Amino acid sequence: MNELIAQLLWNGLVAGSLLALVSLGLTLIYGVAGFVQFAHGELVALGAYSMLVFHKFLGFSFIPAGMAAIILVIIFGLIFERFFFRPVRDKNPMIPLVISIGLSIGLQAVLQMVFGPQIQTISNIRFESLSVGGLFLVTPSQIIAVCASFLLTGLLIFFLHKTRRGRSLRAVSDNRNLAQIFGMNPDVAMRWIFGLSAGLAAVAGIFLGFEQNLEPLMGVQISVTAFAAVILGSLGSVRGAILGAFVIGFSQNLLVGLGVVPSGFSVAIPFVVLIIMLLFLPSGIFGKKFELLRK
Amino acid sequence: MKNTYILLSALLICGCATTPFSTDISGSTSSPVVVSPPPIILEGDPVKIGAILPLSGGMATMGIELQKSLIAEVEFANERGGVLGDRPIEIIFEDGQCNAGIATEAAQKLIRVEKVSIILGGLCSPETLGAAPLAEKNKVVLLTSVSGAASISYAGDFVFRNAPEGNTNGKIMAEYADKEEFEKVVLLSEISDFPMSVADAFHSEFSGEIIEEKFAPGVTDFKTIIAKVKEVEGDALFFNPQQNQSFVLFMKQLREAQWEGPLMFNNTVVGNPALYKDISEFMVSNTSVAGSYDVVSNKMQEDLLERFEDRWDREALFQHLLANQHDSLALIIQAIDTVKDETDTEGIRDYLYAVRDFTGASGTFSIDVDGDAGKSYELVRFDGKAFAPLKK
Repeated sequence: MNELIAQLLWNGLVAGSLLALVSLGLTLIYGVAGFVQFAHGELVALGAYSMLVFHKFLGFSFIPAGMAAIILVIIFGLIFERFFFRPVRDKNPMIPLVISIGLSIGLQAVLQMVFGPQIQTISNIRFESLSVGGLFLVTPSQIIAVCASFLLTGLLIFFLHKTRRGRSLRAVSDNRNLAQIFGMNPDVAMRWIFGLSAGLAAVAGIFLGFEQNLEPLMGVQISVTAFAAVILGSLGSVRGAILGAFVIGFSQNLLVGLGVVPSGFSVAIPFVVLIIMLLFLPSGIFGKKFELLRK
Repeated sequence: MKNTYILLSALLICGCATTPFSTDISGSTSSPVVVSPPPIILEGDPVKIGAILPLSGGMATMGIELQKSLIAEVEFANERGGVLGDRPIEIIFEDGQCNAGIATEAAQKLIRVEKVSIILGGLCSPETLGAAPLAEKNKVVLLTSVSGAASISYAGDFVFRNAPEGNTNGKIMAEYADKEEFEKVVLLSEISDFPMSVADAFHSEFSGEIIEEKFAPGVTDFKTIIAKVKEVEGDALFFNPQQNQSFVLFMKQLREAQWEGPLMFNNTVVGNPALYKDISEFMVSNTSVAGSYDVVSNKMQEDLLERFEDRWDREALFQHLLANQHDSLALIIQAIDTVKDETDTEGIRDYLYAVRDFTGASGTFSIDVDGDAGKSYELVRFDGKAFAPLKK
């Protein structure tokens, strides 16, 4: 039983770490741009497929391939911002939201056209699982994913709080007009936010690709779960997104693994948590006191 | 709060919108794919036949393979004179995405817009069961060559199945588990029509203890279920998916969890070497056995596979499924030629119910009162490259 609980806790940590990277991107865009970027999941998928192209097809080793994939996805994020979202930035928030849904469906179709519907693996190298104290098994890619997630999350919080650029992003998020009066450029803020979000999505996609392989619709499930995590923590809150991701990651694994809910119900858990939150704490966990980016 | 509601509404829209798009064989997003008849001497109006297959999503590899085979077979049939003397066959493909709701829409389009009176498919049981009520209501003949759910037998007078029923798959696996003297088997099933039929039969036939777990379609993270399954310490694990992509993900994570013990599978996982590429050693070391279509090799089947290879410049995957589909098309052509009118669906229906000892690429079969061809499964074991019959 101890082994089972240890394994479930580790699985929850891995799931929460990957989910946090995706949730952070969503919450950053919402915080600054004021709408939900539904094509964010497809940027996750794009990260994974870019890694496939650079590593498996073009023969780059892991780190250069990962860097190239992240840069490519950031470029896509910036293109999205410049050509699809900036022109409608000051319009009704439903407009960018609908555009993002269209982008999401379009990117799924493109991935399917280019790579086919079948599952792909990023690497032919087989990573053996390692036993931790005889209690639970971990794979090298899981360890790297968890470490990378914690590192990036820490760096992001540091960036937002301790750097001039980060503080200006928060200022734009707080009150765009006032920030403009003080000389801050909202276009630059938007570029930074879309670039950062795309980069985080790419990292999540690369690790998700190692963890679960690649298929064109791989971004859908994680992005929908990330939406739940973001709402759970409170829309626009960085700390809320991180907490929401780990609450969902751990609850999915522990509730199913310990038999509290049937396995077939696991995909519904984030939404049950979400409904409970909306009923009893509609502003999310950090809705009132701890909103970092947006009130 | 207002924004939260906007987000939730959008989530719903996105959930509905992310799934449906049709693809042609090269994968492009488009309206239904039409295989135009070749420019030969057939001068009559084409006889339109609909086909519902999963052309995108988790079963697309299998669906596209069946689509390619059907294209090759229709071209071959048209070269040999088509139907009703001088009329070419035209197949209109719709993407069912292995989903009942999408398949209902596909059937609606085929029946209302394309005015077909015969539909081949679906591939997944949810597709066939999704299309069946519309087919029945509109007196359109629906003939599946793959779907195994038990309920298809009772889906209507116009609904036929040229494939084994899923419950016989469950039965043969239960017999195998009993023969191997497994006392406790962990049964892990996808929540979908075909795996549920297999699971029901396994429950009623297996004499040992069954620990059952289920997972929802689209699940990609099996680690927690695997941790739970390992804790149970069963004598064997029976993985029973609807979609073969679940198999790839599950097996990768099962290997990482260092599973040791016999593995059992349903028919879904058989027939595509790409599925076993990275896990073949693991499958061999854990004695992987599945229930697969009992197809006896014959000349007609060899010709069918050769035509596929000539048409698409590669060997066919899922060869055991293609034979059934070939025979379904042959039956339909015979039925139309016999009743002399493709819109006389009651005549075609009666012709199909009267089929006895039909010999085709999949062997010899008859159609029973439930519209089933009464085919069977056989046990196959993974030999390092593919699943091969345990007997014969």
